[in-house]
This record gives sequence, C-alpha cells and structure tokens, in this order.
Amino acid sequence: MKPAWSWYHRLPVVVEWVVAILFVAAAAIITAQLRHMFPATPNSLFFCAIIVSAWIGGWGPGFLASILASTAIIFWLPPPASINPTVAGEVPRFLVFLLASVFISSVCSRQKRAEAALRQARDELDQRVQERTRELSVANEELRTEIAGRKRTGALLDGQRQVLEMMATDAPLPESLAALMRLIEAQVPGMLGSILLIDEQGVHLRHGAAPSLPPEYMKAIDGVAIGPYVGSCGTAAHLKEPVMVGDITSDPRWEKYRALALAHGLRACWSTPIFTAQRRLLGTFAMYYRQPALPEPEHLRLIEMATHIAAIAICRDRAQAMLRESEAKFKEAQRIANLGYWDIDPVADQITWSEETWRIFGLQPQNRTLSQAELLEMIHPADRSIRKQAMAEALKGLRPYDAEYRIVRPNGEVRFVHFRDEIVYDKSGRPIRLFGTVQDTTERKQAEELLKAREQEIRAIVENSPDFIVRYDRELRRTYVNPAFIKASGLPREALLGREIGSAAKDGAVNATLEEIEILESSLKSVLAAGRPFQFESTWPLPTGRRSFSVHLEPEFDAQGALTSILGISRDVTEQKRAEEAVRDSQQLLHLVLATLPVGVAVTDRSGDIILTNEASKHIWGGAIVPGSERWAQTKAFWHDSGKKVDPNSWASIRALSAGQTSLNELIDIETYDGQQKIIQNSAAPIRNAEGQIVQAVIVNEDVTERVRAEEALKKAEDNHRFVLDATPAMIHTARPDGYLDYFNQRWTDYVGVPMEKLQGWGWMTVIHPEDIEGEVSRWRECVASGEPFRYEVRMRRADGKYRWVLHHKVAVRDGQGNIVKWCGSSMDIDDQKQAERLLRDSYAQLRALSARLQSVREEEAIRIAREIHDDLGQKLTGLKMDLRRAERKIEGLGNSPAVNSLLDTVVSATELVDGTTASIQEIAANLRPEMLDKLGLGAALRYESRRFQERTGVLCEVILPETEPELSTGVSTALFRIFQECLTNIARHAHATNVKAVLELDGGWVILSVQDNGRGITEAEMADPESLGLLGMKERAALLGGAAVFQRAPGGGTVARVRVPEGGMSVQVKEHI
Amino acid sequence: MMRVLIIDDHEMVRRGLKDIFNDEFSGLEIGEAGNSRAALELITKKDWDLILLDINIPGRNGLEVLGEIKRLNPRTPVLVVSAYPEEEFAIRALKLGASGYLNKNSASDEVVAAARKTMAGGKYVTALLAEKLAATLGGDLRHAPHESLSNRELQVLRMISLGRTIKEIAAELALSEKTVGTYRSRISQKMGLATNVELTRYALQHQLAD
Repeated sequence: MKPAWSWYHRLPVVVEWVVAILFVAAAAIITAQLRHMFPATPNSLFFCAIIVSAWIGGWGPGFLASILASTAIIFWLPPPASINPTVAGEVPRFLVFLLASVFISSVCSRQKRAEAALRQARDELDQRVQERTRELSVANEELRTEIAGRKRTGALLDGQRQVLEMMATDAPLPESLAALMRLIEAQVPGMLGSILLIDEQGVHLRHGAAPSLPPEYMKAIDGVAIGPYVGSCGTAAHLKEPVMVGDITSDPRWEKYRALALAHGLRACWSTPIFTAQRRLLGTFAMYYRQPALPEPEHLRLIEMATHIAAIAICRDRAQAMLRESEAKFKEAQRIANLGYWDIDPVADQITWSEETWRIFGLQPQNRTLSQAELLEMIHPADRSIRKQAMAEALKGLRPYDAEYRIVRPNGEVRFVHFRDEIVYDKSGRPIRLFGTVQDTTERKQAEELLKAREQEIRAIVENSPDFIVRYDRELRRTYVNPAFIKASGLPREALLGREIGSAAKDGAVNATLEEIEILESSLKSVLAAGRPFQFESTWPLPTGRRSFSVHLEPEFDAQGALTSILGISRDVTEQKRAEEAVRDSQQLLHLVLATLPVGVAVTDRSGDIILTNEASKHIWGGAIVPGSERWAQTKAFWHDSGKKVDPNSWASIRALSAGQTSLNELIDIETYDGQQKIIQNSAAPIRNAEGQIVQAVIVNEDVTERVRAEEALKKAEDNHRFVLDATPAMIHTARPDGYLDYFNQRWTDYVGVPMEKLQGWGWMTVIHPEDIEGEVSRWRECVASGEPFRYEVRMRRADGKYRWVLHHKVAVRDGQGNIVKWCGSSMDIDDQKQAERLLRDSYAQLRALSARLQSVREEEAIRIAREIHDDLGQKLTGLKMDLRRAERKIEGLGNSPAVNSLLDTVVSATELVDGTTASIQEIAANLRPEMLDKLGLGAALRYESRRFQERTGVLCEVILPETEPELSTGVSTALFRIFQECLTNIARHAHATNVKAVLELDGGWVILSVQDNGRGITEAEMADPESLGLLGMKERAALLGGAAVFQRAPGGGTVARVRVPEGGMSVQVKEHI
Repeated sequence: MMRVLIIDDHEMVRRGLKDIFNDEFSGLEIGEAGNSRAALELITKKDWDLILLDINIPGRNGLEVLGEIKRLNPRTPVLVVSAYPEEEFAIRALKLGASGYLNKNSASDEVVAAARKTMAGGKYVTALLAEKLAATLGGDLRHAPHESLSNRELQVLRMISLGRTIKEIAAELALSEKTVGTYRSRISQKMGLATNVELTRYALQHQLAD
C-alpha cells in the first residue's frame, strides 16, 4: 500500500519554524496563567510544544522550541513555574529540563527525517519511471507497426488455412474457390479475382468463382473457347502462360471483349493459367482492376499462391468426383453381381462389410464392424465348421480362403454364399488383414442343382425306359443307344455304336430283312430331309424273336438351327398287338358260347334296346327280339304270382339300368312271338364300366314252364296234406327255409282267431305280446340262419283277447344233402303251467321272508332276554354280592367267637351261592346272545365264541381276522356269528375233530367266513341231505343276505364251510323278485 | 379331600361300591351317575381323583364315555368296573386309556387295591387277567396279589403254606370246612395260583408264612 503523505510534510520550512515559536509562546502563556492551578507540573506544556514542533518541523524547529522553552522558563515565567539556574538548588532541575527537551526533540525529529528520506527516494523513483515509460512508448510504437504487418500475413495464412480446410472437408468447389478469391482480394484492395475452369475437352472456359465481378460479365464470358486473342484468360489458357494486360483499352488480345469489359468498368486483367503438378491445364486465375495497372512482385507472389491453391482445390475436386463416380460404379457393380466386399482385421477381430455384403446377409447396410462370433451366428449351424476350418487354414497360410457355405438371413431364409480372400501378412508372416469378396450364389446354385436334377431325371428316364432310344448322326450312324436297346439286342454297346443301319444285320448278329432295313433307312432320310418328326410302325428282329415296334423319330438341332442328329424312340408294341388279337378271339368265343347256351342271353344298351341276343333267347321268345323300347309295351307278359301285366318299367333289365338292381329268377308268364304260352325265369344285372357307371344290362331268360307246372302240381298235393293237419288238435305251423311262415293249421288260426292269410309271412307277430316280439323274432332269425331248433316262450293273444303263455317249437326238415327244405313247428299253451310255477315261486319267497322275519324276531327276543338277565338280574346279584362281602368283612372284624364264625359260615355260603348264580346267568345270557357281538363287533364275538368252544370241548379253535375289522350291519354280523356257532355245534357233534380254524376275510365287497376242521369230513350223503346238519338253516341265512354258504370235504380231510355275503348285506325283499 | 365318581346304572351296585369306599377311606366325596349324560356333566363340572366306570350304561356306551373322559381330562385315572369278565373288554378298555379293569364279581374284594394302585398312577387288572393279557398288551400289569386278600383269607393262605389241610384250618379257625374251601378258591382266583405248591412258594417268597 502506498503510504499517504501527511499534510505537515508539505508545509514550507518557514511555517515549521514559526509553528515551533508559536507553540512555545502559547505554552509559556498558558503555563504563566495556570501555574497556580497545576503547581506540580509547571513545565509539561513546554514538552508538548517541543514534541509537536519536532514532529512537524524536525530537528531544527524542535531544537529552537527547546531553546525558547528554556529561555522562557529561566527568564520570563514567574515562580513557581520558573527556574533560576543561578540558584544553586535549581541548576540540576534546569539541566534535567534542558536534557529532556533536547532528547524529546531529537527523538521526535527522527520520524521527520525518515519521512524526508523516503520522500526523496520516491521522487527519484518517479523520475526514473517516467523516463522508462517514455522509452517504452517509443518501442511500443515500433512493435505496433510490426504487428500490423504480421497480422496481414497472418490473415493471409489464416485465409489459406480456411480455404484448405474447406477443401479438406469436401466443401463444394465453387465455395472453396470463392473463398480463395475473397482472400486474395482482401490482400490487394481494388482487385477483383476470377477463376475460370477448362472443360473436359480442354477447349472451353467455364465459370469457376468470381465473388466480386459483376455476375452479368461472368455469365457473358462463361463457356468461351480458348484462343490467341480471347482476352487475358482465353489467351493465357491457350498459350499456357500468364498474360498480363495492363490496359484493356489498348491491348489487341482484348479486341473481342473490350466493349464488354469496359462496360463493366474493367481496365486491367492479369491472367495466369492453373496447372496440375503434371502441367495439365485446369483453368485460369485472373486479377481485374478498374484502372490500368501492371503487377508488382508482391502481386506475383499472391498470384503464385492463388494458382497453387486453386490447382489443389480443382484437382482434389476432380479426384473426388472421380472417386465418387467410381465408388458408385463399384457399388452398382457389386449390387448387380451380388458381390460384396469384406475386410477382416483378425487382430482386432473386426470385420468391415460393403453395402452389398450387408444386403447379401439380408440386412440394411450399416456403418459398423462385426466380430467373428457375430458373423458365425449368421452362418447356418451345419456350415459353421466349414467357415472355421477355411478361416483357420487361410490364416495359417495353407491355402487361400475360398469357401462356400450357407447363411441364414434374419427372416430365416437360407442363402448360399461364396467367400474369396486376399491375406495381408506383417513382417513376421502373421496375417494382419484379410479382405476379399463374398458372392450370393444361391440362384446359381439352385439353377445348377435344377439343371443337374433335370439332367439326372432325363438320364434316368432314358436309361430306364423300356423303349429303345437311339441317336443317329447325319450319316445315320448310331451315336447313342440306351440300356434297354443294348439288353434287347444282346450285343455289346461298342458293337452298336458308330455302325450304320443294318450293319448289325450284316454282322449276322440279327437278321433283319431288307424290307425292314429299308423302312427304317428311308424314314430316317425323310427326317433328315424335312427336319420334321416322323412316326411309323415296323417289325424288327431281336434275339428273342421278331417284335413289332412303333417308332418315333425326332430331329435335333444345334443353336444355329442346323440339324445335328436324330433321336429315335422305339416302343415294343408286340404285346399290345397280341392283346388286341386276343380280344378279337375272345369275342368270337363269347359269341360261340352264347350261341350254344341253353338259356337265353340278351344284352341291352343304356337306353334299354337289345343289342345282342343268342340263339336260345330267340328260341324262347319264338323269334328275334326287335330293338326299340316300345317292345316292352308290345310284349305280352304277366307276373306269374299275381297274374298282373308286367309294366314296361318294371322289367328286371330296366331296373338294372335305372337303379343298378340285380334281379334273380323272377317268374313271368309270356306269350311268345309265335303265340305260345310259356313261363320264364327272368334275371337281369347291370354291366358297369371301369368307372362304375352302368353302361349295359345283361338279361338271362330260362324257360321253366315244365318245372313250374310240376311244382304247382306238387303243391296241390301238399294242400291235401293240410286237411289232415288242420284236423289235428295240436297247433301246427310250417315255415319256408328263409323264415317265412307259410302255413298255420286250423287249430292255430282258431286259437288266435285270425285267418291264415293274416298270419303268413310275419303277420303272426300281431298276435304276440308287444314286449315279447323282439325277442322271438331275433331268436327265430338266429335259428333260420344256423338251422338249430327254435324254442321260445311268449305271451300270445288268444281269440278272447287274453294273453297266454305259449311255447313255440320249430325244427328244420332237411333233404338228402342236408339243406333245409322246410321248418315244422308246433305251439303249446303253457299258461296254466306257468301260473303254477309262479305261485310256487311266490310262496317260496313268502316262506323265505317269513323265515327271515322269524329269525330276526328270535334274535331280537334273544337280545332282549339276554340283556334283561344279564343286566337286571346280574347287576342285582352283583350288588347283593357286594353287600354280602361287606357283611363278611364286618363280621370278620367282630372277632373269633363261635357265634361270629357260624355267622361267617352263613355269609360265605350265601356269597358262594350268589357267585354260582351269577355265573349261570352269564352263561345263559351269552348263549342267548353274546354281548360281545353288539358291543365289540363280529371279530371279538368270534374269538370269544371260539374260546368258549375250546373250554367246553377241548378242541383247539383258532380264529384269524382281517387286519381292519369290517363295519358290518347287525344283520350280517348276527348271521355270520350264528353260522359260526352252528358250524362249531356240528363239529362238536359230528366231526371228531381236534382242531378248528376259522378265517374271516374281505374280498371286493364280500365278507367271507370259512370254518375248517380236521375231523372225519362231511359225507356225500350228508351233503345231499343238507337238512340233517342244519346246513339248510345256514344256507338260508346266507341266502337271505344275498350270499351263499357252501359245505364240502376239505382237500386234506375234514370239512370246510365257506360262507360269503355282501359286506352291506341285502334285504330279503329284493331277493324275492329274483 | 378325595373325590370319586361312580358311573353305573344300577343303584345297588353304586351303593355297594360306595359302602366299600366309605369303609376304607375317610373324608370322601362320592359322585354318582346313572347314565352317560349325567356322567359327562359331572366330569366337565368337577375334577375327580378317580372314576369308576361301568361299560353297560344307558345312553352312550361306557367305552365311548371312557374315550370322552380321556379327551376331556386325560390324567384322571379311570377304573372300568364291568359285569363282563372277558379279556376282550379289558383289552379294549385298556387300549382306550383305562387305568384298570375289574370284573364286578371281584370288585368287592379288589376295588380298594385297584383304586390305590391307579390313583398312584399305576395300572390294575386282576391277577388272572394279567396272566392272560401279558402276551397281548405287554408291560407289567402284575402286582402283589395278596394285597387284595382279606384278613381271614390271608390267614388261610399262611396256613396252607404251612401245609395244613382244609379240615385242620377249619378246625383251627372254628369255621366250617365249606367256608375254608371257599376261602381257598378265592385265594386261588385272586392270586391266579392254582395249586398248594404254588401258593406255598408265593407265601414263602413274600414272607407271609412266619
């Protein structure tokens, strides 16, 4: 911080002295006035005055103040402030004052001195600074001039740089050149720059850039042809050297353009040609001035620079244009050729693709690289190894990378691509780059494959054709023969090829006749001459014999349309010919057969007209049948059965044609053309073609007049028998072999009250109970088909309208060959018998129900009594016993006197009695109904019973129960328990067994109890008379529950009883209906 | 105070059991129920130290009631006292969680011993049954059978073990021979021992003969 100079530093020296005097004077006056007020400090004010004086004025004024103050003190001031040095005592005091004031002034003036020195130093410095500043401003001025110069050069350089930058960033050429012009113009005030470009032919100058020249002028000179007198530029371009025109008005080279230039105020024009490095002319650079002028050296430098830069810009632009063009062409070429370019940097794992490569891979061209892995992903999985291997081999330098494989486009399309490469190695032989082409070969591949397939196909056809295929050249020599021909000829291929026609015959291998050879030869020659296909039939000898051939000759032409060869295709038609002959033969045979057949045969066409008849037919009808459909109307024919006239449309042949029906043996009475009455059996069937359409009908007539008449006579005789049958009391009926009931005797018709006509056929069904019809009919059909006797019970309606049970019985009557000729049947009213049966069944069921009821009543009663005895009586006895025992104990406590003991005897005896009674009551109750059964279930009850049995009889009794005891109804468990008891009783009484084994098991909804002993075994007689052992009771118990009981001898001796009942049991009521 | 609940539909039996308990224990509170409903009511209302339960009672079966008791109060000992002497019932009852099983016939003699044993947390069945059940149920159901003998019966057992005949014993005790015979058979039954030799061995083993 610069110190601020105090005001007192700037005071004039005189003022400093005056101030010192004034201050001391002031101090002396004030001290004189106030000496009595402050006697202790008489001289302090003087010190203040000295300090201030010395501070402001320095040593001089300070010292003066000290002298003045001392003087005042000694001489002027009255006591007590005064000091008299003459007085001895006051000398030291005066000396002290004097010394103190001198000291103070000297101290205070030191500050003043320092400041003065400082001031001086500063002033010196200021002076020197001013000097330097002056020097600097001079230097600065020089520098500024220098910088201005440099700045101009710098602007030029900057400009150059900008122009070059523009070029480098591919700015359009006119812009770069315009920028260049502006740059030059900035260097030379008043100058107008222009660049003209020479066209491709090197003849005309075109507008390049001229930002400052008038556009009209530039337009006017655009396209000017170069020459010796074509202004500055045209001339410069023509001469290929600079043309500096100082004044356009006078220069002869401006003759033609002078008016134009002057019109735009142009007076001087210096033009310099622009060349490439190879001195090829690119254009001209011109500097125009609006006043006459000639170039100075600095102008020449600028011109040199401008032409140089312009040359670079133009060359670069031309190169760029060419590059662009060639790139575009290259791309187009790639696209057309489906050829992509790729570039692999194996070190960085980067693959660069051309646009077409992306397209080949089915992708939009992208501006990025791929990795090997990414590429591998796009390759068909099956071909990835091909790529890897080819790549690896290429990288090792084993062989160039040349591989074809499939790729999968993103849309799933599979394409074939062919990769070829070029590898660049570094100095150590390591591959650093691979580049090459990729081509989509899918279409080519497909076309190739198609072609190959077609070739193979045709080859296969030719090689495998049974036809003989031979190619002849123009000299009629065989150039190709197919295997069929080689095989058939029996000669080696070499023997057949290259030979002229007939040579084989000449060789003697085959012996074709001259005629055969000539036919072939002339045919071939005619094809040669006409150039058109030719077809003929001929025979040709083969080792297997002479065969007939249909030969087709086809001329073959080359691309220029010249006939080069003839292809001959010969088909063996021998068999065909033979077949045709065979057909002819068989037709003849048919006619012969028809002629000799005893039955009449006729064939009609689709419309029903007879187209073929045989002799027999004519014989039957007494003459040939006249064609024409009205014939049917004219024919006198009647159905034999009904006697009605045969309607024209109901003839069997018409039905065969219209409905495809086959009719057999229809009996028709006819009057023949020659007037005879005959009975014929008429049959007809449709004839269908291969497609199944009816095309004809065949009719067969047989004259059965004699036979039918004989049969009818027989029938009459049969009718006579029926009188006898009608008279019998049994219900008789007969049926035809086809199941048609044709006869019912009188007794039958009377029984149902329906006449025979209504019963015949299937009419009898009307008298059968509707519920029974289906069963009877189906059974009857079965029997008719199989021939077994028919036996069926149905309800049949009697004449009085009541349905009664009737048994129908029929048996088949057979002829000598075992064929059924008739069914004879009888029917019997069995209703009364049925009634009796039902009554019996009903009563049986009632009996069974009653028995069941009795069983359950008995069982309930047993339960009740058992409970009463056991619970009521038993419990009371128990209570009684408790009382007695208590009494006994009390008596015991009374001591041991005879009286007491006698009482004790009585009580003990009574207790004993109660115990005995209790035991018998329990036994009785258990016999009636084991509590166990109700409380603990069947299993426990069986165990308990077996134990009681064992205790009672000493026979070992084992009971085996299922792991989980079934939940059984009381009915089921009671029945099984009772059966078990019954079995044990039987064993105890009859078996003489030592061991019993009872097994209770469950089997699919059934409870099975089997009891087996090792005794003597049940005898046949005992089994036959089940009642004897209570077996019936057991069976009945089981049956009531819908089960069964079986008793038999066990395999190892002894008896086994097996009872099975449904787990849930079954009510007796349901059972009743079964 | 000891609480005992007697469930039996026969008033006579209940009274008999009550008398026996009152003779043997002092400070008793005895509850009575004649059917399953009343029984369950009492069981839910109060805690009992011992429950005597008959199988054959009106309403729900005694075994079902047993199950219910075990569900409600599993630690209360239940002594089934039934008219059924058969092992099947005993097995079922013990499996359902009863602490003991007594035939009503032997109840007058054994119920006190059984009550003591079961209230102490043990199981009790008659000696005969224990023999039969040993195989079926496993575990030790045996106890010192002579505990349930009356004084006179014990006296007779001692004398038998000393080799006295019934006649001699009758004379000595001034009882009829029939009475002594009855005692003899009761002893056999209660102890599950048939012959004199077995009885003698038992008496010696348990230092009954002095």
